[in-house]
Amino acid sequence: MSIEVRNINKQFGNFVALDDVSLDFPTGQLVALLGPSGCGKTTLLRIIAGLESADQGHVLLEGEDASNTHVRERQVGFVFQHYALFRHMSVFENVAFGLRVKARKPPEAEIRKKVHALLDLVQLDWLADRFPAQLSGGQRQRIALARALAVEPRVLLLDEPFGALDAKVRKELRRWLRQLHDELHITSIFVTHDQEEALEVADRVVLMNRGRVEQIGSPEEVYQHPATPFVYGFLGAVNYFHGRAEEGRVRVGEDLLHHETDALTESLAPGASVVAFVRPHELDVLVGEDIGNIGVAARISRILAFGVTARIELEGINGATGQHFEVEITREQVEQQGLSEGLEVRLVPSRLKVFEHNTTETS
Amino acid sequence: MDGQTHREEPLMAGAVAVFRGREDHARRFESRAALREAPWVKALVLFLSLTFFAFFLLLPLAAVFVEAFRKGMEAYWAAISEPDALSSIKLTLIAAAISVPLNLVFGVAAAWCIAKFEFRGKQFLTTLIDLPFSVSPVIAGLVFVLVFGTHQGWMGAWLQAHDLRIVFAVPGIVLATIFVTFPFIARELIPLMQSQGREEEEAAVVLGANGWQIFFRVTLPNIKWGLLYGVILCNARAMGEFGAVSVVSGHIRGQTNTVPLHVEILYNEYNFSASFAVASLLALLALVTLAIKTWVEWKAGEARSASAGSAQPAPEPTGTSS
Repeated sequence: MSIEVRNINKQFGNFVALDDVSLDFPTGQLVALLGPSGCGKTTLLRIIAGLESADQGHVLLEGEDASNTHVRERQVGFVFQHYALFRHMSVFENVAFGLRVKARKPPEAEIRKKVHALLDLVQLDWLADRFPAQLSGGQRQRIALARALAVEPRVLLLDEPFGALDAKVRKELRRWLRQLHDELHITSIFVTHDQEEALEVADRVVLMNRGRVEQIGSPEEVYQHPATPFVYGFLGAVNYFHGRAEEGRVRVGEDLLHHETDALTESLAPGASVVAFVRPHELDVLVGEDIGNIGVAARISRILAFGVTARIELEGINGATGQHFEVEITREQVEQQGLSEGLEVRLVPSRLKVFEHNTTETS
Repeated sequence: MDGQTHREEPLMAGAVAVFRGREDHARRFESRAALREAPWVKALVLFLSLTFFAFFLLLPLAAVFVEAFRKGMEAYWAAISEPDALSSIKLTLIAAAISVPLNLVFGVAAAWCIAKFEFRGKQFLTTLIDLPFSVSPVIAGLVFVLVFGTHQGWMGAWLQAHDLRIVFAVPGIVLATIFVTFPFIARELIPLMQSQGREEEEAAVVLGANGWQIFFRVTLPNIKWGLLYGVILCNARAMGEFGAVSVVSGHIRGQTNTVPLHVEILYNEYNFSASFAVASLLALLALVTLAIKTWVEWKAGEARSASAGSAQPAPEPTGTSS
């Protein structure tokens, strides 16, 4: 089932949780609502479920306005961050709940069959007689998912489903959720603040900040072509340089950074205050005196070489005094160039994204 | 059992609940030599508390029973089986049988409102629920006389015209009992329901449950031990209430006397052994209440430790989720 939200506004007191949000969720896709805490993503999910009401705007389920449809008639499955399993019921009864409260209750044999099929689906049939308190966090969340699926929802909404789990279990469940979605093809929206989780699991990612949608796209799109400084900063580690725009380059103090021109940089007036973003692996480290003022001058403060790549932490000097930079290069490069702590080098970006400063909010 | 002794109960109940949760911790604390107190400190604390307990709790309780049986078994039986005594027992049971179920409904409804919804005036309602604890029971009784009294009451003329008696009759006693026992159940449930939050109810409504189904299948099972605890305290107070009931009762023997009032009348007539005999019934009620209360606490503690996850989580089978 497709979901559309149109011009949703929601305020809690003076705090604007959602500011004129309009989104389309096409049928059968797994969409991530990604953003920092307080960006309104959970509120939006709860409005779609009907657990919260919008001050203005509409929710359309399958093209029909659902704003006045009661939660219990929306046929949504909702998975809570803290599972919200019924603590006094066994796992079996938890999953059976949605079937037992139906106006036209199916016969007991059918309920048993269905519950066991769902427990098989989440691979936990052997826990049917346990109580929620006797399960691990990952098991509880899978039971919560089975319970949500029992009523054959048209939409599955997951609120930070893996937020309360430890890193290892989270990673396993992520992969498992993706597999499950590929089997069931049910329209799903899940909320997360973990960019890795969103990029890894979702078909599409909706980035939200301060109650607004910043960017919508496939994981590759949003990662490779961030539309706003916020998205750039939120998706992965980033270095930023404050400077002034010049033709095809950015002047940071005495230093110059070159960049390819695109639609955004074309529109920049020369001399405009800008921020340039570079990912750690997009910075080259150059040693030597003869390169003039190409790149930004910095001093190496620490070299961390654990894995395949080495992480180098640097302090800005000259124009970028007091700033910290992070560079990722291979360990061979570190040895070849003879990099060591305290060495003065120049940082030259292989790829640079420039945004005008007055619209800039770095996280 | 007058109004004063029961006032601390809800607070103590909370303390007990906290204490139970820390028992394991306390045990570990004791087993470490480095953390153990000197023997004489322990002996002193134990001696002081036991002496206090013996003098102020055990001795009066024993005195009630000793006095009650001073003139022998037959006199005791006669005192509690004479018609006035029986009628007072009956009235006490009626008052409790009406006020406890009503307060059960009021208490659950009030706690539900306060714990699960946000609304203007919530703080005011919470304070209002505590009102019967904060005013003297005598004032509570006088309020009912003022409102329903036959001669000077606001509704007196109307009541008289319709031949209805509230004050100095059974309805007044029931009303006064309801008033003084109102907070017990609500106060017991509010913190419990607040700590449980709304998520389970939300999960239920998303799964298609209606209001009644949510209440009876999700909310009620989660609060049942707290509710039972509140009912026990409420019942003990309803049967033992003296002040408010005394004001509205009019002390008509055989008609508007409850057990505590009957005890007082007998005492004032220097009929000590009969007075203590009837009082021993109240003391017995207190003992039974304590026994049930302890049992409920034990069951609730069990339920809590089960839901807090003290049981071993089932091991994650390797390879199932990849």
